[in-house]
Amino acid sequence: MKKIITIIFVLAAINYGQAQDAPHNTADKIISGSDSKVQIGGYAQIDYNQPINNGKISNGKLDVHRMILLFGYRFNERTNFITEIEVEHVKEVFVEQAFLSYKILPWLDFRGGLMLVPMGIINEYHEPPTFNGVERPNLDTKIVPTTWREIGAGFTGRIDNASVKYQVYIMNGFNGYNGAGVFRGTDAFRKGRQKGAESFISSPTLATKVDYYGILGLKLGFSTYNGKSQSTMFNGIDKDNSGAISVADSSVVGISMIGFDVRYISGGFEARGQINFANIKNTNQYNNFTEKDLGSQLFGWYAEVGYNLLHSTETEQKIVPFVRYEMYNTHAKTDGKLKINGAYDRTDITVGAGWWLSSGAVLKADYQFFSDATGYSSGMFNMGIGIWF
Amino acid sequence: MKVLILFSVVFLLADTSQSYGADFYSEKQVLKIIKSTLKEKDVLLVEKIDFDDFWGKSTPLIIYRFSRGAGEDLYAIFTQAKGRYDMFDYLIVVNLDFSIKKVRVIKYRSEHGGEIASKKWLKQFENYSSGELRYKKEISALSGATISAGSIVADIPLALNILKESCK
Repeated sequence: MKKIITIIFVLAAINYGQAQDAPHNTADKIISGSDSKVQIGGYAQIDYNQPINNGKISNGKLDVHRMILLFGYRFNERTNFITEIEVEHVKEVFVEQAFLSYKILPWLDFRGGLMLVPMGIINEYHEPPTFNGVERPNLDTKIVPTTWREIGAGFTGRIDNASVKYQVYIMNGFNGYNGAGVFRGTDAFRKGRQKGAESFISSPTLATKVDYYGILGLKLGFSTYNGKSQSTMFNGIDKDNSGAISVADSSVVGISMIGFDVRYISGGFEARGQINFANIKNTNQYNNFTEKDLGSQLFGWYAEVGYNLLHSTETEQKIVPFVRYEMYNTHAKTDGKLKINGAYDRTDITVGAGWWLSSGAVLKADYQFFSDATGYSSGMFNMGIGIWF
Repeated sequence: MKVLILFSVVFLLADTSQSYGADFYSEKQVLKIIKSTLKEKDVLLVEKIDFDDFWGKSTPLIIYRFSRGAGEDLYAIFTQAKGRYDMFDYLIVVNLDFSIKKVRVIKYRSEHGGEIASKKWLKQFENYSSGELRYKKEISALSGATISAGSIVADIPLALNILKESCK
């Protein structure tokens, strides 16, 4: 009897399977590519970094720096879900983005989930074929902590008549204190990124960006970020306990960051630049409380020019030599007794070239000259492979 | 609280009447889009152009001849091109001499690349009728929208050729 029942179930299952239109499930859809509602994509960066230090032997580093797979699903014309799964250094898995977007009006989209903070160029557009140089600009590591993402919600949209795109999000902020201070002088907020991984919140932050592209070849961006850092010290404090709240306040800093970015392309010539400034409140109390050395002002900028040597040919390939000059100081100002550390006032010059085999595949090589205000200098030779599909 | 209520109302009242999906564009939608694109109340569809023998692509395409205002006749091509991850819908309004009068992106779906809907950028296609049309050469680059921009630049001459072949 059991055998008969089993056979009936198996036959029914086969019949049901054949009756359905393939593909059956998400994996099938992705593999077959037959359902346009499913989107797949990705990018990767494989690097060779060779530090050059006078009088010292330095090992080079070979690294699958990051590999990201994008999956999206369009539920209907208005509703879309996008996620990017990131594997860093082969073994560290992160979710880089995971958000739902809903088109309310042609010029107004709701977006919520784990999202990129719209600050500067690279934090949003960091696929290797979209920028020159093996590594991202260091401004976008030390001041804008790319890839900077947190959970939040808000609105974005385009006003086509004015050639303007806007983004306004309420987002979770940096972890500034979780039993010990997290921020530090060398790279300010970088260690405080919560990345949506069991993140905690004590007060929300506001991130905005406006892009203008109404002049042919030119794109201008203006970004802001405002809010306090997050602290676990507030958790469980009685609301009437002003003494404990006052102590907890010392574990928090107030952050106001602005960014201005510009990209320009004309013929084979391309240029881009970015300026970031951050004012940080309460750093004296924070540093005294946590024994850290966080600066009260951060300032940095870079300018880059390049030229596509193959511009006048008909090939889709590009060979772009470029030079980038950047200065970034995470101790532009300090508060209280904290002395300015000249090692955090850095200047980088990057000279190199990229060979785009197609728009989504590039081979890169460059040399970086590093120096700081203490007189220290060093260098690094980089080669890399970048892809994007 | 008031802000939350306002947003909730906006969500609920959002333009749900517009039909997304299923058919590409109905005659009613075609008329509505042409009128808003040309800012012209008086538009009449004259005929739907038959192009089956020439269009080898699987992407949707519909072409109408229409008249506007004081008897000016034009063509309207509704079709799609590939954005970052999704197809986007666009309209080409063409003069009877097959030169482009206007291009408009009707629906852009991908999360990135929507900048191509900029009226200023699309103005570059106006008066084009034949010859080379290359992204970053005849048509300016658009940072952050490279794939979509390259796609529409390649697609427009193809769609225009279908119209020319169909009208021979």
